[in-house]
Amino acid sequence: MIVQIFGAFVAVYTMSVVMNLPKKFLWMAGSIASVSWLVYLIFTDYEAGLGFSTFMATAVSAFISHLLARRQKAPVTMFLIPGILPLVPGVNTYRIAYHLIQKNYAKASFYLNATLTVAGMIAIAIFVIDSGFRIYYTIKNMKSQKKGRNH
Amino acid sequence: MNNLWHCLTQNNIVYFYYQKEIFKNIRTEWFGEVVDYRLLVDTALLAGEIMLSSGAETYRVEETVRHMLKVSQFEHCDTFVVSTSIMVSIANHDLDAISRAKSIEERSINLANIYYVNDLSRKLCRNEISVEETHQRLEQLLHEKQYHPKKVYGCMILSAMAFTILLGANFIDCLVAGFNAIFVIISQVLYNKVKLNDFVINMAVCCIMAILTCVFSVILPCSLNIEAVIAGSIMPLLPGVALTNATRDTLIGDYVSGTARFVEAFVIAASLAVGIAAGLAVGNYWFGGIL
Repeated sequence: MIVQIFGAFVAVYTMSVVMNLPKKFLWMAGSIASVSWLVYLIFTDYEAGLGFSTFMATAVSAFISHLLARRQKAPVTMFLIPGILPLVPGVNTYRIAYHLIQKNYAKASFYLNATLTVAGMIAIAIFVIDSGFRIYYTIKNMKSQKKGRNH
Repeated sequence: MNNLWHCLTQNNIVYFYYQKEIFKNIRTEWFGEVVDYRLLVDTALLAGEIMLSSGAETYRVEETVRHMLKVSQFEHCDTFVVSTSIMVSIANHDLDAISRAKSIEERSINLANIYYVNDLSRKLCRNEISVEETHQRLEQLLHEKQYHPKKVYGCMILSAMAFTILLGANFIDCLVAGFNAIFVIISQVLYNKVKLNDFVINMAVCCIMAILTCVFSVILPCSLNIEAVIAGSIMPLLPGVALTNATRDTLIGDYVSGTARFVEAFVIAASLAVGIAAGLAVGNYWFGGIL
């Protein structure tokens, strides 16, 4: 487990260099990714389904990304794309094509299903956290406006 | 002759009058500075182009470009972005529309560019920097490289090794994947220098990688987790982020870009898979029944 988490950190740190992330964000991106990978591993250990564990892991990384983005005044994508990198279904896309070529249609459709589930869950988790933050800030703004009126 | 001369001067006068009118409309006083609307449109287009070719989601590009265009305070500031091209236009009741279009050919992921473009557009909207300066900085951004290529290549090898661990392989698999990643680097260098077709390069490189993995599995005394090794070593080429962006674009309601990105992701994956299937077949034929 520790090896896996360290692996996630190294993988995302180096991949962020490949994706040309600004230097000051590299450590944060790696940490977000290892936290989200830890969440994913914990949920799969308790035999939550693939979709649910992906959802929770993405939600955690999206939440941290939003907080960091506010603090660093950077777009959320800076942290989000590296943060979800270990969860992203790149390998499964390759497996679909590979099994289609091998005429192993049952496996191909299995991986297609898995890919769509994971990609969809990642997107949904990002949307949920996004809307949560939007609602929070709208309420905060409304409250501060009300206070301004009273004084 | 006389007639002709008369005609020319008349035309010239009309022409000069026309120029003056346009000049008056295009350049107006704005915070003590002169705003050139054509330059503003160019700047917004350049910003959108950089963002789109750096792998930003379509809706984000549209939002940024529209914010930049709104600096002009025109009635209609519109932009149309799909994942392969971008169109910008601004129009006002007293001025003809200014519009430009551009197609984007190269797409890769470059987070620093997204960050800096976002920063510049924010500053422009707050009137902290002028349009000219924004344009200059954007053009600088096109030629800037943050990391030395050698560092990037080293990181590619390390990331391939780390992703192999994430896929549940042991230490030896990880080393083999690191060795295979050298070929990914070769493919990147070929793509940058020779400008060969993406599909062909990916296919060839994956074929070589698969054959090499077969060779290693025969040579090495312990058994290799072939699938994990191959999947890990092609990790830098795989379209994971493109697929996630495709889903996000689709769910946000941009079906054109969403489908385009889905197809893009699947074509990349197919090119890798074709190469690997061919390589494994060759390896199987030479060494017999490894798989």
